[in-house]
Amino acid sequence: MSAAATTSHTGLPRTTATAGSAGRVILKRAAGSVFVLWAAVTLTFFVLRLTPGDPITAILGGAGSSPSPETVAAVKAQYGLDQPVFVQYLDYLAGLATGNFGTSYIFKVPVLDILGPQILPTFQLAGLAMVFSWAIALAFTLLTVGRGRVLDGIGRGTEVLFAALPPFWVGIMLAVVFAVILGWFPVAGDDGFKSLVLPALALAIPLAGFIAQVTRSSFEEALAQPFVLSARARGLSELAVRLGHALRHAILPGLTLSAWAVGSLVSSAVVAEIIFARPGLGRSLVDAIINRDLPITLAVVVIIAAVYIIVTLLVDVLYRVIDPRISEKGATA
Amino acid sequence: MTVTNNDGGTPVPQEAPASLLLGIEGLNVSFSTPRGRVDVVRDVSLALAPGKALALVGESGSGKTVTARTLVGLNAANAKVTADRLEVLGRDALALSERQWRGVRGKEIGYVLQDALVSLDPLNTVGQEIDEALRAHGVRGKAERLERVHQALRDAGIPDPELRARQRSGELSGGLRQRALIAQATVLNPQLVIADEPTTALDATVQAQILELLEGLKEQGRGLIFISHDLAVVGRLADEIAVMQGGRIVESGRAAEVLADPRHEYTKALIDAIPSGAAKGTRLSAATRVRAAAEPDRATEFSETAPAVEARGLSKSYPGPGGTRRTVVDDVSFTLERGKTLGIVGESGSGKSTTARIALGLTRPDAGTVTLGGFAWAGAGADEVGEEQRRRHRPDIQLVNQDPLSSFDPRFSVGRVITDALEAGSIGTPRDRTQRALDLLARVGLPASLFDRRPLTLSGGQRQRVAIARALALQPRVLLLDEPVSALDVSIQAQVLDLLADLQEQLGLSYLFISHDLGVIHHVSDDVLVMKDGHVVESGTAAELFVNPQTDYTRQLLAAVPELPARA
Repeated sequence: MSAAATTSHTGLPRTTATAGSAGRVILKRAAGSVFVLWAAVTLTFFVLRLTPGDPITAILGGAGSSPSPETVAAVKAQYGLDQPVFVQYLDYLAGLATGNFGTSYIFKVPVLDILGPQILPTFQLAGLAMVFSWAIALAFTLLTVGRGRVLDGIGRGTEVLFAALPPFWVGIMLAVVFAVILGWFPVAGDDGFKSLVLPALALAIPLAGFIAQVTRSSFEEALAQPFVLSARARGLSELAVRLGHALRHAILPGLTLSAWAVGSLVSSAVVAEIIFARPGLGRSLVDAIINRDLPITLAVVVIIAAVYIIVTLLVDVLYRVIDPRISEKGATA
Repeated sequence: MTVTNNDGGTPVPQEAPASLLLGIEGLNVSFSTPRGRVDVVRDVSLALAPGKALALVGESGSGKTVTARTLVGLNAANAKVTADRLEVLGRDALALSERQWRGVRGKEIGYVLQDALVSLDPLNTVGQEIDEALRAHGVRGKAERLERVHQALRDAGIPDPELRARQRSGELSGGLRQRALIAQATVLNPQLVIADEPTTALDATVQAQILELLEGLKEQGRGLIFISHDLAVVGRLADEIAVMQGGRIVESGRAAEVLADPRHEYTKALIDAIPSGAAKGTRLSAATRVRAAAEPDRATEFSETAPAVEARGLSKSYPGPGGTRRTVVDDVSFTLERGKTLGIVGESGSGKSTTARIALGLTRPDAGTVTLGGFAWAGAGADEVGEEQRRRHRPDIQLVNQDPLSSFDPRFSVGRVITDALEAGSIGTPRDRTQRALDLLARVGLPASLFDRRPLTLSGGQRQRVAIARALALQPRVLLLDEPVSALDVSIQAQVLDLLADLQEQLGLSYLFISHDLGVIHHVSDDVLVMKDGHVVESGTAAELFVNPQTDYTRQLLAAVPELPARA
């Protein structure tokens, strides 16, 4: 009954980790998130300053232009580039705190005016891709794991194939087959849910391969556990055992992978955005890098970092919902 | 349920088969493997009447578990079951479809697996697990199900069922967990309960309680089939015994008769293998004695006159929830004389493992001192001993665990496991380490052919021998044996205990022997330390303590140990 009694008689006692109340855990995590965000901003800020090329040239229309020294000085003052780098950095942080991401070098308007309309399409794309990849991964796991050698082999092989496919190739193939030949979906553009399906699938298929591989092995492991035999001995059907017991255990490692996947989906969305001619953050990032538009580059990085942090927190919460033991570790370990 | 299946010309015996829960004749189970068919159960015949208990006895791999699973139709997909007659609760089990089986499982037959910690879904509460059985068998009505969940827990002897139903198996003690496991298998009042090693790995007093619970099921008129390798447990509960070896029943009959007057050699060997005080100083197995090969050649400062281990006033506490401190070891003192065995016995949470870690110099005590072979080994405050000082003495004390497999690098071969230990202790030259490893294998009674095998492919007994060989590689003076035979079948356990006795005699080793099994402790120990809640409750020589216990707790522990009736 007591905490001590739950350890097996041979388990050497471990020092108990100090896990506070749920509120304190969340507060700690939030503080950690702010730190991670700050670190991402700082690192990107200084790394981008190290890249070759002069921002002034970018602002004044590229390498071909030959501005007068007066113009250069004026622009420098306008963008604060005459200040020491460290002062620029502090200015930038101060701006961020008030939601000001600076002014684009190329478009000469506030960064958020440009990125604002791009954010939602990218999130829609990444979100749907995530949903698709989980649906595919779970379908593979539920239908093929432990269903005989043939089905198992098919599932396993398909997963490896999926994981190995490059998204841009998947995207082109999907576009050719389902948009051009069959005409089920629009070839390009941003026109409601229908136009979202193919680009989301292009991103989802390779990711589904990864998630399914992880889920498969933990699902296999869970099916071999004695508690599954117990459940069968209670008279449960195969489906009930799979859905009610094995799946819950199998989801956990894939969930951890998902936090990483969402972050990378936002940045890899560019492939789908270009193939299917969609607006989005990924495209803006590529354009900004090519044009040396530092404020936009920086802003996209900050947004991706923030998304990653939020998703990680969400996954953490989900993890606790699925595996309630975690929240109690402090009391029972 | 009284329907007898007469189609297919199955012979119906004279004595009313409808009243029998089980009627099995000529049962064969084989598995198809990549290397062909493997027969696991051969020509097994069993019968069971309501209100009776049948014990299947035998070692791992003897076919007990496969036989039991056949009775609920839960063998692996590659299993092939044939029988002259396989009647379970009056039905022809061979003709049952998977859907029909599902109606039987949980409702008419309850199946209790071995280890409740892994046999209940760790993510579900105990209540959810029990509720699942009710839902699977169409019990509607949330309130009714909840009431039945609580009733099942109450029937299984769990106090405060409303609270326990909301807890997960990991939050329960071993005894409550096992009760909850029984509750989920019996919630629908099945006529037949099958229990696979229901008391293995439980402390003696908890084991006694679970046996009582199972006895209660029997008294309610249910049939009970249980699997055990512990003949003392069997003697307490069983009406009938079937001893299995290599998939066959080699001896069966009324429990009292089989135990008192075993006919088959295998049954006799099983009974002889039980360690107890009565068998003290005698060999438990028929295994040949091992011979010491090489003499120790490692320099050591280990004193020839001081005690091997001397602990004085050890205490250790850990931070508990809410800023409290949980005292795990409280003022523990003991002396292990050279060449002797000190047994430490106690139940889960008694502090014996923490005491062991302090003795190994792995956990720093809050108070007290430990000397090893006369030199300061561990201590607190002014007596604190640094790891640098300890390091050169480390080879003098080595550890053997309950589960050696998890302490082997799975990529290593047996030979590498041992040469690695030799290398770590800078013993021998790289060239002669292979020979030394082979010598060590011979010393623990393993053939040289195992040198290149992976530990994963070895049997439990062989693994434990490898673990002992590895501990001996550094030529220690003291071995700390933490439940070294708890995971082994009784006859394998007998061989390992004999091996340890031989090694002690030949190498003059001193043993600190931790176990929850009083029979084992009585058999091996010169002196015994009884621990409870971090305290030493009683200590003394094995002869005194087991014959004339001074405290209630020791008496209670001894009383809880099931014992076989003396043999004729």
